[in-house]
Amino acid sequence: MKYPLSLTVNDENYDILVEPYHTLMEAIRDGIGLTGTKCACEDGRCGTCTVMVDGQLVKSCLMLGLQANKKSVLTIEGLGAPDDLHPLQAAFLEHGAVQCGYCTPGMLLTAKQLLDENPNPTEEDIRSAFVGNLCRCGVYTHATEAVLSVAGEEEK
Amino acid sequence: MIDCHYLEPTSVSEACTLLAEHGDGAKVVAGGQSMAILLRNGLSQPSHLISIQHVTGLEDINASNEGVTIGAKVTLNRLSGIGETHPTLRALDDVVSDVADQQIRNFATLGGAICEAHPASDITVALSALHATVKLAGANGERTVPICDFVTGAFATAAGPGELLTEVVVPSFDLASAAAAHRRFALRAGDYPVVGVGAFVSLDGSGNCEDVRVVIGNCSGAPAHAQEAEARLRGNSIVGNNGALAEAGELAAAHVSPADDPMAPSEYKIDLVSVLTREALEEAIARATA
Repeated sequence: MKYPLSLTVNDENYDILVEPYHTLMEAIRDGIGLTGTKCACEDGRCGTCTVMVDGQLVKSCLMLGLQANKKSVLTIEGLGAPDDLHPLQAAFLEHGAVQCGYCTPGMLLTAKQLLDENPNPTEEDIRSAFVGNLCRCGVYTHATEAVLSVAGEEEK
Repeated sequence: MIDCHYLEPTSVSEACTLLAEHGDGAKVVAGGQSMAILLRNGLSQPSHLISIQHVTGLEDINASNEGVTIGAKVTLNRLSGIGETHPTLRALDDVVSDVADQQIRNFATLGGAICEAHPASDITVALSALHATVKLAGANGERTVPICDFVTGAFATAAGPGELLTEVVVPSFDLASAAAAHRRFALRAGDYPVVGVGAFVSLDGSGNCEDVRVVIGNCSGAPAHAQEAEARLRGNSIVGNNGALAEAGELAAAHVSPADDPMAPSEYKIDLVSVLTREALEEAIARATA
């Protein structure tokens, strides 16, 4: 049986219908049509579907859509725009922290939450933050450098 | 796909009524971090999902003379560092930051982690070592169950129809002479452990072992009590007695007969039990004598 789900995604309001077992990831991708949030393992391991719900990082494949009812969601589409990149997005490009790009949306949101909570993270802090984001191209070193560069910029 | 209803009670009594009404077809959703996977894989096909997201009164952490009471909806992230404010919870603090990753810990709840009854749960092992109890609310009132009796096997608990786990109580103990610790070995950061061991020790006035508890995770469906290891130590000198602790490790290893699993073969897990039991005991004794 379908239930109404009301979400604010990237400051836009959406009203859709979902089954109770539909995940937030399915609501975002299939219900709303925002496909920047990636779907890979669907098992809570890879972190490609990471979004923020009311400012808290979550793997959207592990949250039922209805659990996010009336909440505010930030996806990669809301982080920056092609002509107005978020500093983290610009830094990922500059440091070559993107290869196939599938993990990138999740990694960027994880990096954003880290900097929101801790504007001056150490390399160790960044590596710990990325525990839940798998990258099979292996961009961890470049991504860590990218986050460090943004942290440094904000310090100046 | 299944036909499923989604209900959102706002109180414990309302949740219990709904759980009783819908019987075996009802499943509780707290943080959802395990339930979403069970639903997708078809391992759980409930007729009614009972979300306790809007149930109030399950998010407090309170300390009293009896112990520390933790509401079922307290998230694992909130428990990170709990050993600093509530030193009797250090063994729980040992494990929460190793559970999965921050995304999951942001929403995973303590009650959910216990009720999932995953055989490799470090949380259940640490709480068992701490003699924790869980409080269950139901249509006929509340009852309190030791956590070691609550988790009855892999993914199985003693919660009856219409019962909701509302809080976890970790009893007080004298920090000057007792402590608990947890040691685990995992293949990768964020993974369930290959083996986890929780240990609790209390010392009498002359430094002998007054009480001890050794609990082993991921070698059987529910956490296992290494009674032979406990018997070897109880009443005996254990501070600085490396021989006794090594023997306890061997006895704990002899207590379990884990199955091979994709992470490790049985004999590897048995070796780990021996080493981790000794290490957990050493750490607990170090804390109790610090």
